[in-house]
Amino acid sequence: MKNNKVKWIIGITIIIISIGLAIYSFQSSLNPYVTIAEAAETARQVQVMGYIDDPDSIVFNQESGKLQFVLSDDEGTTVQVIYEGPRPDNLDHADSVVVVGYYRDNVFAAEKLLVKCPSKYEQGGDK
Amino acid sequence: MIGNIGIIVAFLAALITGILYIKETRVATTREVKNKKWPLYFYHLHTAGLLTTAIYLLYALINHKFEYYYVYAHTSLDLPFEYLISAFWAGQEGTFILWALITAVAGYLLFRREKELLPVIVPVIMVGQLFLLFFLVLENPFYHLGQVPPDGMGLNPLLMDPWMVIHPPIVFVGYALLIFPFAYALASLWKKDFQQGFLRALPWTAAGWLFLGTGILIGGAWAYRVLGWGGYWGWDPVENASLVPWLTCTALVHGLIAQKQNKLYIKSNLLLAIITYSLIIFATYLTRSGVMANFSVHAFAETTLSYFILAFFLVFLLGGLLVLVICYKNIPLDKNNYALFSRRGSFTITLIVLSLAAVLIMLGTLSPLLTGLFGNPASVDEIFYLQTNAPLFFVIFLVLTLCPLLTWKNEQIRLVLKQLKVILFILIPALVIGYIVGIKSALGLLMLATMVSALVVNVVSLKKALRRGLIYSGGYFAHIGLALLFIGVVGSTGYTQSQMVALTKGEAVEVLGYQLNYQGIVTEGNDNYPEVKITDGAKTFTARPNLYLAGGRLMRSPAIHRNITRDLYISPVEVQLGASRDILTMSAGQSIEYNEYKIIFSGFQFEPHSQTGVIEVGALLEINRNGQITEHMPVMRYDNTGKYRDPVRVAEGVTITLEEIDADNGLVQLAIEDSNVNAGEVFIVEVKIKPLISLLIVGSILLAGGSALAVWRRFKE
Repeated sequence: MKNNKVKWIIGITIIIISIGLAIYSFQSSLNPYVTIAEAAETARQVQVMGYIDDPDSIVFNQESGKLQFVLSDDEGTTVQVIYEGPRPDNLDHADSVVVVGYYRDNVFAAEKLLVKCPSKYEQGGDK
Repeated sequence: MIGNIGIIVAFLAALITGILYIKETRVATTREVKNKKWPLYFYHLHTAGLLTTAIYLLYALINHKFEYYYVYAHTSLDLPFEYLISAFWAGQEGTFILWALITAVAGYLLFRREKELLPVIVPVIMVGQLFLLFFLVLENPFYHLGQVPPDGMGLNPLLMDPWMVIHPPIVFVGYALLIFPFAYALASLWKKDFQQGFLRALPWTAAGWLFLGTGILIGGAWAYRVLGWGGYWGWDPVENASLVPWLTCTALVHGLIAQKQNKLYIKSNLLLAIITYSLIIFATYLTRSGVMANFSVHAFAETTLSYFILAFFLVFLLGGLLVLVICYKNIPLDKNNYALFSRRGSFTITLIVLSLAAVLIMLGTLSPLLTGLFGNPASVDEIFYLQTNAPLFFVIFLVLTLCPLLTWKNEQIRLVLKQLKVILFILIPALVIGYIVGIKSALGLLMLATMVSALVVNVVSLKKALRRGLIYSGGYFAHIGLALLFIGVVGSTGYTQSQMVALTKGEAVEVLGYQLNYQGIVTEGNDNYPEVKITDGAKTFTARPNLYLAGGRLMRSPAIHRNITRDLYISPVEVQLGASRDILTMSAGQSIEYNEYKIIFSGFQFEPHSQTGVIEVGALLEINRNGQITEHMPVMRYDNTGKYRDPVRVAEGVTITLEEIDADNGLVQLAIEDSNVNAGEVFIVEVKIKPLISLLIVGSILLAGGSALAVWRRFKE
């Protein structure tokens, strides 16, 4: 019986610690969806959903080895985005893009660039 | 017209078939159900209706019947034949037809294998079919445009891939088959036949699990080759939504095997069967309803269907759980009292860990919705999935190492450890190699150690199993595959190197140990291949990434060069036909001759806007081109967010930008760009080295192949 009790205590302790770690991991890895204005006010990693109004602003900067473009959000704020990585397909035709990263020194340094393609399952609700 | 008649007939026949079978339940409690003719006739009618619809849709697609919206939206005249057929499952209406049709056809295999439980199984399946057919009535694949457009919109270029031909059907076979364990769970609760009856769900579960898993692996192979899909696994909601039911289904398959051998886990298995199919429907809801539209790379249509798909999910989940709760007292108790350190213990841990992984991944996937309830939606980063799953898979590999050495009842730790000693001969060299190639962290080495141990133990056990026959070795093959796959995953996620580089035509550049030399673009039809000659030590080969136009969009596809130890992955970024660019430094009043231009810098023009904090400086230029004099003013603006430059266009393709000013000395720096003068092509690429991808592929094939062997065995038994 005593042995059983010890087992229970060990088991419950492991479960509580695991839940705690999972919650900690969940909270620390959360990237809030914000507007550009909100991104400017926080030092956290955030995600901004926006649009590339001017596809000509998408430029690959040879010196820095980075892709840059001007992103505007629903509020109409614009920001220069700098992204290191390959240019995703359809960037110029994207409905909208999501950038994940940090707002620093007046530019948005994106670590991830997600492109919403006009279609995967549907061609949009224009029927 | 014909297609819609098919839908209506299939719907009504499904309704009647379901009702006729339910009537059988009254008599069937006492004696075996005779295979009555009428319900079966209506089942044939149901299948015939679906088949008619499917054939008619296929006919419409192949014959370019653009008056149907579905054909118009997904195909075009120039689409190759294989993609005309694939367009069947390019939109959600088509996938619902496919799903329902596969379920109906699989039913015939059920009629051959099952008699007693049919009165419950068939109605449950018919409820599912009714939902799918109802979706087709709401979102009609034969929606008529009222006119015949000359050409269709074409298939999304990203879907024009050989994998598109087989990936969706395989996934839907998995979806379709997994309603069978759900139906078996309810039927066995009704018949109180938990051992013989419920276990007949094992082959169906295993087959559904095999197809779903293979579909996921193929999806990964496909995504690996597409830029912007986040590599083979991007933790995107669409991917996660199918991984979660696969995990619970994996738990179910193992649970059922243990139940078959030792009457264990009956309750867990019933619950897992109900949950797995509910999760399949939930995956459909997540990917089709638009709830995740803002949180995924994939686009979703917000259709009227979302509430009905949610209803489909809730009916199955709550209905299933309700039956389980009501009949709970009938389920026999698990009387075995085995110790934790036994094969039983290893199965228990496996079931718990797989379920936990499913819960955590679901939590992460739903994070935007969950956090949205309390404020700003936020989604978890990839790191969440890695952090939470790494310890779980550490446990899984520990279990995989021990499990083959354990018997079902009790085991003495000392004896097992003695057997394990042998693996040290392989484990130690493996760790040394791992350390040399760059795994320096203790955690990384620990992960490698458990995976290698699991690998070795299972290879040894496989040898024994093969003596009994190939059919008994599926599990070991699958587990070896899993270990190899995860070694590949750890290698490629943790140790990928990448570098962006600009390659000037004809100049060799050293990148990540390879020598790259851009040769120029070779055009073949629609495809433009910027060819790069690559020298890797003594070997030389040519990489051909592709830039092509499809559907009016520029698409990019990478060049991948596979090697046993690592993949060289070259993503094209862009080809710049380098414009000539010169910097001129001038003082006020100075004039400079540049090609055919004579440029005079006459002075600055300041425009301070004190209220807004914006300062504008312009450089007044007078440009004389073959006697034609024009005036220009490139401008530089400062505000609190930084510096901006407005270039001026002097002639076609020639621009001047005010780069820098030195007001104290009255100097300006002008950049003059002339795109008419070609200064050499530059190809910008991202070069990545992804280690151990080949191991990942071999592992995937073994996992799928091993699973297939196991399915074969379960169907034969």
